[in-house]
Amino acid sequence: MKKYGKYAVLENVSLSLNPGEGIALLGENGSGKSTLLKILSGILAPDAGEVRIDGLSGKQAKEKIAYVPQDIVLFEELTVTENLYAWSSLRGRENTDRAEYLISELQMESFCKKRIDRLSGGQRRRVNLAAALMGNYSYMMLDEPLAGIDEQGLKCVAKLLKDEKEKGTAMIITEHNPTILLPLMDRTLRFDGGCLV
Amino acid sequence: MKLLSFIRYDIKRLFGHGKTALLAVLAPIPVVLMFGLFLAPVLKDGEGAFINGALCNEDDSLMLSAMMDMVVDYEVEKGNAVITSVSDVETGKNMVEEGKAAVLLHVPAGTYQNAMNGDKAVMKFYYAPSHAFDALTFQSGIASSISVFGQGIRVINVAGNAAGMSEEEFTRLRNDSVSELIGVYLHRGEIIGKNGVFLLGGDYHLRYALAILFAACAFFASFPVLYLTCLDKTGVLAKRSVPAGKMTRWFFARILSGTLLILCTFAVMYPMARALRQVKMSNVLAVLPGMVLTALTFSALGVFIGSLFRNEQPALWTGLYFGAASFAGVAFLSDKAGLPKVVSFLMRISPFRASVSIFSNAMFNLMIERYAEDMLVLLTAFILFLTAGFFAYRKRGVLYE
Amino acid sequence: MNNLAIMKGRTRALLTDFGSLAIIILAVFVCVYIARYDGKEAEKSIRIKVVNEDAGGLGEELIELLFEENYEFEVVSRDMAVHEVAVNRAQGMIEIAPDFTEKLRRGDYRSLVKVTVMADSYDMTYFTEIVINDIVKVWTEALIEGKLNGIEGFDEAGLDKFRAMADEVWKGDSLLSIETITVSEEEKPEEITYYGIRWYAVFTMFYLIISGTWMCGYASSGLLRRVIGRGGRISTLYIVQMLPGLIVTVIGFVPVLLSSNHPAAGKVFVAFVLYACGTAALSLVICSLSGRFVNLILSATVVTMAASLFAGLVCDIPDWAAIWGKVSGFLPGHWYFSAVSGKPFLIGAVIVLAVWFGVGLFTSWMLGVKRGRE
Repeated sequence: MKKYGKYAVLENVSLSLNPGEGIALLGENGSGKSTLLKILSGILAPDAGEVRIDGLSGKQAKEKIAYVPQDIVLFEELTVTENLYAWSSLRGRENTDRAEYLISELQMESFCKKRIDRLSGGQRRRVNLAAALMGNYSYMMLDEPLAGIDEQGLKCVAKLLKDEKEKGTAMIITEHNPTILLPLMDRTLRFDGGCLV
Repeated sequence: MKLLSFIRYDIKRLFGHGKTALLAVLAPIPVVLMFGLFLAPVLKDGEGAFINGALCNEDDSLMLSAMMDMVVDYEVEKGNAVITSVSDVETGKNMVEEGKAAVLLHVPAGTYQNAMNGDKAVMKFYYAPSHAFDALTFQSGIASSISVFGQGIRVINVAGNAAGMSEEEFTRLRNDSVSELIGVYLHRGEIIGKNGVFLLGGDYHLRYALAILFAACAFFASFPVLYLTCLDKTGVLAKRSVPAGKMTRWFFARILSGTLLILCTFAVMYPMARALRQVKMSNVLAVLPGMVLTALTFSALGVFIGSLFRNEQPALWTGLYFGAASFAGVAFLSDKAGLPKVVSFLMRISPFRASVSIFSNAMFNLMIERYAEDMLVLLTAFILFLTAGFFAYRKRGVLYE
Repeated sequence: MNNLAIMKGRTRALLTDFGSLAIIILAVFVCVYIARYDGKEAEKSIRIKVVNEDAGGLGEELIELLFEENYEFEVVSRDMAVHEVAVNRAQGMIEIAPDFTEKLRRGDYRSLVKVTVMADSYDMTYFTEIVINDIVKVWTEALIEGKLNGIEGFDEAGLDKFRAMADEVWKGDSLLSIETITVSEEEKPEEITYYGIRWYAVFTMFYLIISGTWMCGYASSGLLRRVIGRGGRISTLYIVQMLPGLIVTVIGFVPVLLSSNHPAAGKVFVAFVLYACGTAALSLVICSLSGRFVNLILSATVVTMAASLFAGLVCDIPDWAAIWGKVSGFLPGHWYFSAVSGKPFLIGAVIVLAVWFGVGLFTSWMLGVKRGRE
């Protein structure tokens, strides 16, 4: 459960996720989807209940999760490549191969040397996703990862997520327009008023 | 990633806020220029001399003329003054009114003889009200020394009464004594081991004001650090799951990049200070550790304040008020004796006061004990801010919802 | 455009922004204090430690003279003196050399004392002069006593008489003095300089710039284009938004003006209102160019200092910088200072206000256009 003041954003939410499984979270604005992902990722603490990842909780559990926030959370003053290196270091160690792989997969070669604050919204969204995927993880929490991305970009993202799933990465995705992602997902859960319906 | 890479990225981030970083580093330029304009007079005809004056000496005694020549020649040679001799008072007064001279000293006829006879002699010092600052500073210096000289002559005169000596004996005593008195007057500075006749501490107020400006500009240069730290804590570092251990590297990287920014500010201010007050390079090198420690302390303080707030505006306000109160305290209270004990203690341990003291004293006239004490105060403050900032910086996450 | 609603919203935001509001509150208290105590010097007390290593008795004489000066002297050991200066419990120290008396008796004046002065205060400028003067007094007495002792028949009683007379001389007038006279024949202005109302104007400028964060975003966001697109006038928008800030500063000005007892209070009040309006217009330019709050804090400090210094609000402009006083005619503060000094101000203030307002509107509009193209 999670409350803001008297208002319960999440109530009696319980779910489990198996390795390699994909879940799509659907619901209206303010239904609690993002809050749930933040709790699962360790950004927020629940008022009641617990999160267990592979039987682990706390810091050890957080390290298994790659969280893609809804907001663009990047170092605006650094370039794309520098952001990827910086975020990979923050999660473990600087991994240049992984950075090159993601730049290639998400077709960011044309702007990888540009500062983030010089990029368009869609371009930033791709970098936002890539930054979260630098590091070791078994689970992905993606909060509206596709907003503002063009058609070509959507295909790249979908392919990337499909590859991740095939490697055994489990994922939970919230998205208003999940059409392109639905084929990847094994389950769909709907939120309404902070509860799973 | 090594700490060096963190530092490199953080420097890029800090300086990447172009307008902010530029403002922080370059803001001292207009500030020091204004200081130079208003407190360190640069006179049109004097080519940078301290005082530009006119002298009207109507006294025909050789002794007084020789004495004035020696004083004037010395001060002119040292570059402290440009003196123009005028034949009459009206010419001199016109020069002052027209701004060609800051002051006019008029020595009326019979000044020396009157003094020798035990009668009062009054010289006149003319100045324009708009030139009061440097004119009265100069006048205060020579007035006090001439007054004592005059009293000395009177003491010599009363010696004759005390001893009940003959006229001849008194004349011999007086002449010898006045001659020696003139000698000590012309070499007043040597009494304390310096050269010069007067105003040997004439620029302490300038040093003090300059030091306050230096330290204040350095403090304001920490504002981008404060701002970016607050942004990070509520932004990138809060919205992504970042291990606490890794945040430690970012923390130290931020401290060091902030220090570099503040040192850039010093690098901008130094040449200007040198132009104003001829600060010697050797003295600047001696206080380089002080500058580095000042930069570290203010950077740590910026990170600490930035880590405390959820929003950058209250963080910046806090920095502004804290800095303003600290510098106001240094500017108006540091020399007061009757302060409450708590205030006195706070002034003594204040890193702002220590920083100002390093710049106002060590950079011009190093006293090792004071310098060491000021460095100790700065070091203690740095450790305190670093420790407090470290814990505040690492604490995040649930605070923001 | 519902101007009343906009104004209410701005007023609420202003009154709940305690960070900026505190500036005006502080300004009122500080400036009322300055206005009431303008011209009255507070008693100062600089602490100086004296180390007397003199083997003879003349060091004591010097100390007696020093104790009559307007500093707080204390005789201590050398270690204590160094320590006290080091920890900032003293601003200077005087070390009287061991051969002080010996040197004086033979007429020598070189390196009699060592003076260490910390530039911790504006009042240390004349300290060295005072010390030297007192040493010259002791030296002079020693010189004369030496010569008197050489006179046959001169006895202790004569010496005592001489010392007593010398004491009287040091306390009395000098034979030589300098009279200071201003060259101008016109009446000298009053000593009271109205720093209270002048410095309040400085605080006002800082407040109006720093509380203008709402102006930072208007230029770069699409708000102005939207207003124009819907037939609104941006000049009206800005005037309505600025009014609450102006009202706050004017209200704060009233107690400061009353405390200053200025003979032309009515004129000064009008001048201040015009000054505040002109400054608000100037802040429009600064805020538009700054873009964000951190830049605003940095630029507000520098701009306030510069504009206030050159306008003569902080302190009187010295003669060598007189050109800046004339050039500062484009600043609102220049005309306000004219009003405080009893000079004409109205037309200049109105023109400057109009010009800055125009420049401000143009700047924010241009930045908005530039942003729209990006």
